[in-house]
Amino acid sequence: MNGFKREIIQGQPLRAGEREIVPEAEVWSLQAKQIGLKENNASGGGAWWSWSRPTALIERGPDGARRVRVNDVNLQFEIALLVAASVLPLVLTIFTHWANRSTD
Amino acid sequence: MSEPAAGNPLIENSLNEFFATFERAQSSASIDNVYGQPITYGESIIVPVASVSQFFGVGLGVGANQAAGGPNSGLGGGGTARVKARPVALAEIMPEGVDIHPVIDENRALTAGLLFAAWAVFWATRTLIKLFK
Repeated sequence: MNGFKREIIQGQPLRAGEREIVPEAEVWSLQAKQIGLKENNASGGGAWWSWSRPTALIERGPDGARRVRVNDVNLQFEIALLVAASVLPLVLTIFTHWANRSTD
Repeated sequence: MSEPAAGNPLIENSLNEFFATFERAQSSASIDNVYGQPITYGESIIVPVASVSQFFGVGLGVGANQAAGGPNSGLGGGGTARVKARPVALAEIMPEGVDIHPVIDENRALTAGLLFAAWAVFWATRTLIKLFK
């Protein structure tokens, strides 16, 4: 089916003594395909993209369940720079207007 | 649209394969790509963790002419695919708990840092020019 999809999937649990560790990941996928049918011929095309990223390890033991988050520090750093790069022009433009107005 | 194309074996097979390719692609987005094979190290179990992106595109054309003079058919197609995996962390499962060790991609951080620095220098210069003009 065409469209965008996001799902959380869990893998096979790993055993470590009395504890059970369940890996969890998030999958984003996008699919687009189309087929054209005529009397004696058919043509079509499509594309599919997916991005899977780890989210957490779920630790289940005798003393309950605990969720250990998996952070992608490289992605977090890039997002932080992207936000800073978007805010910087705004801040400097406002500063320029303010400085020019105060010197008038 | 008329039905005969769907009754032609060549066209039917090609279409079945086309849809099967998408089903195979969907099933390939498995959690096993994100969490690698566990490695036992002493009392600990190490699990490599990665972020995986996959892409493929495909196109096809099938023609089957059953006109007088005999069957005349042809099939053509093409496609491209890309799979990219980046290490994110190492998960260490110890008897006393789970520990996540992030993997820092220095090249990627440096590239992003340099691009940001260039962007910041551009805006700082532009601001100074506007202030002292």
